[in-house]
Amino acid sequence: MNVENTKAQMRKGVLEYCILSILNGKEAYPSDILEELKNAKLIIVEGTLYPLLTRLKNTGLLSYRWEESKSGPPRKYYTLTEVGRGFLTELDSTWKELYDAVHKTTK
Amino acid sequence: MKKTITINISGVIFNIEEEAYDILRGYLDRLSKNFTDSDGREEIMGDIESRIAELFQVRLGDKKEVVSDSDVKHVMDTMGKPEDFGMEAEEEQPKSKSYSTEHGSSAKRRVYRDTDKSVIGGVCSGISHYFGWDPLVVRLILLVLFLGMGFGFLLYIILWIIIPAAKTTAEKLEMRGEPVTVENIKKKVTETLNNFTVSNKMDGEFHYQHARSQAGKASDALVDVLGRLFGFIGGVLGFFFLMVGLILVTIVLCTWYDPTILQFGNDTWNMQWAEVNGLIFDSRSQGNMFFAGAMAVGIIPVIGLILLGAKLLFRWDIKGKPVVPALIALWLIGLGLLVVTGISLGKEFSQPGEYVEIGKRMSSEVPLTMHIANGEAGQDIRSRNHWVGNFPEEYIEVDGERIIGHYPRIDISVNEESLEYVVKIYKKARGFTMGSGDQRAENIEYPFSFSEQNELILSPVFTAPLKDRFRGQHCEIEILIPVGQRIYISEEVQNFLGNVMNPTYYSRSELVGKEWLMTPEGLVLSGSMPLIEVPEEEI
Repeated sequence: MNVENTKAQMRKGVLEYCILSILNGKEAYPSDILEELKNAKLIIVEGTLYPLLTRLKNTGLLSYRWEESKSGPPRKYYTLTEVGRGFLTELDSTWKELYDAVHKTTK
Repeated sequence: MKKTITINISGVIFNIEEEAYDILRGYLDRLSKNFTDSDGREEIMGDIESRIAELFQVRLGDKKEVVSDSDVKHVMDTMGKPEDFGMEAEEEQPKSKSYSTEHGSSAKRRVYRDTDKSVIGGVCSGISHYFGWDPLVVRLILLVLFLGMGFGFLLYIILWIIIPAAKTTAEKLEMRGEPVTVENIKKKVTETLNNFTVSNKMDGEFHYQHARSQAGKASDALVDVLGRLFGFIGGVLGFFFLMVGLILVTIVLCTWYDPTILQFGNDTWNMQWAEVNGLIFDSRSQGNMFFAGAMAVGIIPVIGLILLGAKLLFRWDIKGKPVVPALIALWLIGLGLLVVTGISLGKEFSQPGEYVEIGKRMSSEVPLTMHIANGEAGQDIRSRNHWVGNFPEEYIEVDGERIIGHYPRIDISVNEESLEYVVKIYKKARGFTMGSGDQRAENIEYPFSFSEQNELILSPVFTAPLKDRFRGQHCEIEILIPVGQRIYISEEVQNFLGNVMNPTYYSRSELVGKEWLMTPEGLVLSGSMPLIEVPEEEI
């Protein structure tokens, strides 16, 4: 058992939840999402985000639209779908339960 | 001064140094290999590339124009190593029986040495991870091989050298990847198919999409299963190649140590290399060049076989390592040496030379008795180092400063010209020029003598000076007997006899130990009248 591994796994679990939360009620393109995740120290290397976004999109939780950018390549603006919103609501309650449970047991 | 290349990343143009481009290219390739098509490889790579374009833009700002290798390294640090991605991808797999099945891409196993659980170098525990066996089993197998013939030791050392140690967490995970077993393959297929049916029964857009992605996964799983099957066959082949290669190397090493280990029947030469060298080549260095060339040409394909085996069995990546080009270069050098020395040696054999020595003696009423001096014949000729020549019994050996040719051929025919016993010694050799061949032929010695008791005593061997080198030296003896004269062929002459003129075609063993009478048709048994066969000579 390797502590780095465990840490990465714990981060991983909440990462999807956080991405969905960031996109709740607003559009964002990957660099915005990265900024927020990096500020929160949830992500170390940026590359991790992209497969995750693609997977969430492929399972129908996210959708995106293209937007031209003056300064750089065209951007993909992601937003939650209807399914994604339902998914997030479920995760919200799960997270609360989990938070309480962890809080209780580690007290 | 550095060369730059213009590239287009997500529609943005960059000038990039050639070196930096190579690094970036390699990085993107490695990243791309990390995803399968069902992950949405194209899309992910597209997203990553546009992020890289952004990062370059930020980093270049207004001041710089060209992307350098430090910029590429910065981007690589920011995006992370492919191994980090791999780890995340593996953890993404839900372990529950939910709709999402495993992605085949994450179960890539590679063999590493497990230095955490090592006894010596971690080879056995590494291999046991790979096959999913108990390390004890692997160690026992190797131990048996080791005790058996010291073979396991060699194998262990080679494996120790070629298998890398698992250092990073990613490598350790890779090392412990799923074992390739029939059960796992079966499990994988049924799982995927079950999920596919379940999702088919659902309705709604989400489930439709889901079903579609499941279909993709089912075909992916098929590809994955086939891939594993081929991987498995490749592994078996690899193991086979590896074993054959190692056995060949062992044979070669053993032969080097003691050439008599190899005995392909009688028709082989089992001289020590040093002897052959002195016998054939003009100089020791020429011989050694030939030998080195032959070794390289012979051994390198075997090494190639071992490498191929290792590559197939352990998915050992030899791409980018200079091993293969180096081996090919060595092989070509070896071939060159072989050709150069071979040609110069071949020239030495290009011209035939001959020298004929003739001995005569008046025939007498007493039968002529043919003997081989010292009665040396009949010994077990195969017990010494020898080299077999054209004639069945003929062979060459080296004794001090002389080349000794055993069992020169002796022919017997009729002398129609005189009443003398004639011994003709045809001495033959080859050389680069006509003259050198003739000279070598003349240097051949074949002693014979007639005794007072009307015996013809012939030497069992011809000799030639070693300084002449072996250039096809060869000796044939022809004995001519006048018609009406008798000859007794002693037992020990049997193995020397070649063409003996006799109308009844007796075999060699039937010719010896008897007294014969020479007729115009050849030898007939003394005391019996020749059986004159009248063939279809009618009018």
